[in-house]
Amino acid sequence: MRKWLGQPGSAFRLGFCRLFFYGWFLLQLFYYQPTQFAGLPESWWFPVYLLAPWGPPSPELFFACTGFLFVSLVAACLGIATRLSCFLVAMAGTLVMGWTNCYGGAEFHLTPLILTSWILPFSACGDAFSWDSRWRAQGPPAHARYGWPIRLAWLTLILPMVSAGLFKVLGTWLWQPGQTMTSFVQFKFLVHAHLKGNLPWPALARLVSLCFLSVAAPWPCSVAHPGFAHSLLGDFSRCNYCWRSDFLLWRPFRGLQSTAFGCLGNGFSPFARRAMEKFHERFFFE
Amino acid sequence: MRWALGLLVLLLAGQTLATLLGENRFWPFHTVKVYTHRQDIAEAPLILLFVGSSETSLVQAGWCKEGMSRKLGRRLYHAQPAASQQQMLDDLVEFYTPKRGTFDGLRLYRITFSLSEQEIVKRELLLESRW
Repeated sequence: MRKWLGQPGSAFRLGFCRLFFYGWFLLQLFYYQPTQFAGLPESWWFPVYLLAPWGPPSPELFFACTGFLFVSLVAACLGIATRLSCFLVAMAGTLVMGWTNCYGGAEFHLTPLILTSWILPFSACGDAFSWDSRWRAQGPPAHARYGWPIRLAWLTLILPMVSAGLFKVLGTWLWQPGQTMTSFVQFKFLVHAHLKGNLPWPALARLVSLCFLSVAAPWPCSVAHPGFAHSLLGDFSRCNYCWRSDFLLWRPFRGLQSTAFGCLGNGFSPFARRAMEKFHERFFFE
Repeated sequence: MRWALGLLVLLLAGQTLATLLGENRFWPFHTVKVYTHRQDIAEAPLILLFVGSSETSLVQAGWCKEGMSRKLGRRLYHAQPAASQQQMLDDLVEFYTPKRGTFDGLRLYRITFSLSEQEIVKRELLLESRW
């Protein structure tokens, strides 16, 4: 484990991941609009363990922390006072996003976002691709301190998927894949769409009733989910393929959130490295 | 053997971390509940605004985002003890007073879906609160 985490990494890549991650966090802030929960009555407060001791926040505190989170996110994204701004994001993000999870069901999409935000403050993610480094084309040489944050971020992204994947496959899909999958898609299409107040594409209604879905879809998914576990044993690119296969299968039925969740995984993957290298060559070396 | 043990420890550690902001305080993935759904009949709570005989969702009225609307519906529906549900809905009505406009109040419905027929088979009014 120590050897795996201690492999040298590129400062430029870590800097790019930092920019990508906090940029994505900013988008999430606009998507979730946490301040809509500010001032909800105390009778609705149902805290998660982490935030239970402090009680419900006042509306003023909620708005102040959200504003603070926004400013810190912009600074962390651009790499301004990087270590400090990353710490502030982790603290304010945990509070604000955690509070939204205390008024009903928890958004599991937020979990890897919060956990990853607690890794970057302890890293040297501002050494390249940042305002602090003056956007220098040549970053410091490869070192282990630029490698472990990305690898640790992989773990926080993979482990929840592995847990859920094993549960799904061993729990139901392995025994009755067709029935479970069809039932799920119908549930997702009909119930979720109704609760959202609008129906997705009419073509999907017909797609749901097609028998190929119940036969063809479960098996690649059953392979993809344990694949996350497999990726723990080797290169993260394997996990990336799992994400892509999952993405292709479920994209028509899922919203922006799941798509973006997959992109977040890609952000810390070899895909991001290639994109970053091309960007680096194009804008800094030509 | 060491690999298996390491993987087990990692899984447990990941699970523990993930549950800190969890759905049911022990397991954060409500997709598990959805994925294991095999019955033809599915139930879901829904909070609606009403004015006279017409109704609209909080999302369509622009009062909140879809994620919050779903959270509120589930929170109210599963609130314990059941007697506190009316108080919670009254509190929510008070919370939304500045946005009230022409609406008369809020209602909590239990919607029953038939998945195979792709339609709503039952719609039960559970609670109502007026301004």
